[in-house]
Amino acid sequence: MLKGKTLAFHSYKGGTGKTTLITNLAASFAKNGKRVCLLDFDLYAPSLATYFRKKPTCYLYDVLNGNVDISDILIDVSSDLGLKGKLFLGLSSPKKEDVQEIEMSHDLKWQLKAVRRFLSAKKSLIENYDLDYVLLDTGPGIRYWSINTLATADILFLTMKISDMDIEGTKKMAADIYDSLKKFGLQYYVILNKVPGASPIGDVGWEENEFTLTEELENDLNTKVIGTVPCFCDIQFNRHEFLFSIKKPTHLFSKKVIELSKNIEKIVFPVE
Amino acid sequence: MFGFLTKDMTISFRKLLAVILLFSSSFAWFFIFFTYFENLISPGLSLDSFLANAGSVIFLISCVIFAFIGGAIAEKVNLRKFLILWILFGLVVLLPLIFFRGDEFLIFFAILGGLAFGLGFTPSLAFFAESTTPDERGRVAGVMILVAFVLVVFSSVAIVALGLESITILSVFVGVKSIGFLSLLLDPVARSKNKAKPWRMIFSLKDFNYYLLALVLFYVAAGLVSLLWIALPNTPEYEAALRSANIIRYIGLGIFAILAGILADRIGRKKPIILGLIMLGAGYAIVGLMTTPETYFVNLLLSGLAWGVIMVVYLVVPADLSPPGSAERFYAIGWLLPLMIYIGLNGSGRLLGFVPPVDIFSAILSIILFTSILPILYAVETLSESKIRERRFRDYTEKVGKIIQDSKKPE
Repeated sequence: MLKGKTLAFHSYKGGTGKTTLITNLAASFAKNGKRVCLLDFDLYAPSLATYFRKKPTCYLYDVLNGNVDISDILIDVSSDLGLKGKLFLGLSSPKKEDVQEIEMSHDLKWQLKAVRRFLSAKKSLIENYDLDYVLLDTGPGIRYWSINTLATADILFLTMKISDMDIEGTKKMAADIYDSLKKFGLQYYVILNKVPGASPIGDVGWEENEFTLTEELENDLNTKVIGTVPCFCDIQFNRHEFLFSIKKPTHLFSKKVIELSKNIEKIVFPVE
Repeated sequence: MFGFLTKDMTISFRKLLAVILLFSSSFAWFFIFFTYFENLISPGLSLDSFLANAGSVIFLISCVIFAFIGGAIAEKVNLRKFLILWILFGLVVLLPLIFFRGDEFLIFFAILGGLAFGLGFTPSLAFFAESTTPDERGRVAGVMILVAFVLVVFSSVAIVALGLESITILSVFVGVKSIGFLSLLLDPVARSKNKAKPWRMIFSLKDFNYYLLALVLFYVAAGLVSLLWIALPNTPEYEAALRSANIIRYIGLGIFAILAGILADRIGRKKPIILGLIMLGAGYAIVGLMTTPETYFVNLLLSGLAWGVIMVVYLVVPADLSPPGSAERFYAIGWLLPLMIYIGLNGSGRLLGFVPPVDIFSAILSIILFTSILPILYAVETLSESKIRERRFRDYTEKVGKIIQDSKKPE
């Protein structure tokens, strides 16, 4: 049984703050001494290369194609960030032609082959790097690589805003995809992000609604809401938000990330 | 056991059963009436072929006319009560045959038969259309056709085993028709209160017309085919080919109906129709190139399979395209009008004793069938792209899930 757990972060729509959350959580885990690998599986619209301002020579796509070993693409950013543990990155190419190639030129056979390749790469990654967590940032909605990423995870965290569109879409995705994956052992939880409250529009009566909405969502999706992260304008509209939880540990957002990471830890390693 | 068929269906089991039994019992009744009509009218005697043909044509024409009338009445009255009366009428309509038999009653009973089938046929199809969602409709239609042909086969076996006596045949008719009552016990069979769309609006629907045109061409080919078989040599080899092909083709028709239904719900309606038309076209091309008992056998087989596909998808398409409250009209135009063309060609050819040259005729048939694909290419897919994508992704998720599960097994 592998020690390291794979956690995927997914959403119905883009713009739910999935990448901001996953990067901050990854850094938060590593800051606490955990060994973490963060992989950018939003193959269709990758963002981690820009987020971390890295330009590797090969990418996750090369691993999926069987051209390189996963260890060849990993970038260790732990010392740059002064983390107690380890944080490795596996990036996807943001180049337009590379994205197009993934989107256009691969059939189902390739997809399934690539899943098998990734499974074996992930196994060796966890074993060789002694990882506690492999975090997968997925593309929003339902596409082949979102499904592949979700399927290869042990636990899925659904990041959503509290808009009706997001809620309804997530419910549909749960019925279409998550419930199918549940029978293969996947667990999933909800994280409500960008919740009004910390923003200037503070008088929306959210506190009263929060309880009802959370309960409703838990009933509809048959799962638990494990965290609520408020919307912060200084993060939302920052030109380059970069690991706020590390840079500004006293910020309410950073505190929420720490709280969330503890909740996740309780789910992933309940005995510890 | 039937999980592959019922997976993701939203229709309740009771309603599903009600829809299947209502359609299958009436469709099977139609088939066995058409087959054993002669034996009922003149038991033990062979009817004059002109009269027999005339009887068949009148029966089919009255089916179509009464289907239009029945559809119009059903729009205005309580559907449940209407269907009860229709089934009851079907049970008693042929009973006078015990006392009145002979050639002179042929036309009368042919019309009554048409009335007993046609009146409730489009309302029962409308019940199917309104009870199903687009992504389950193909599979439900497939089961409806399969059950109908299972009933036909069982009825035929029963009739042959028990002897071709009028009382045996009538008992089978009563038995098959009574099955329709079960659906009324299982479901309230209520229908949408929406007002039906005007006829002219239905005729002006471009995509519906494309599908309709393809079906018309299919029926033109089918009508001409029935004439083609008259021209074949009357030898024991051809008769043997017909006998053995008939058994297999009914089984194949049922299986292909199910396959077509599954396909129609997975990849959409257009591809299965094209597949059916190509199969039929290929069947006639083979006979046209070389007319032997073997090619005749292959043709019968292929045409049986193609009929299975076409029947199912054309049960689905009018339901997909019809707004609530208008399904009867869509079925009347989309199912029964093309049937009139078939009847016209088949009937007039037979009545006039037209014997076509096999090779030229087969080639013409192939061309017609391949041409019938063109309108389908222009027609819009009636199962929405998002539904097709949804199912594709759901299937893909299952595949990936299984790979992951296997990878977790200890080596």
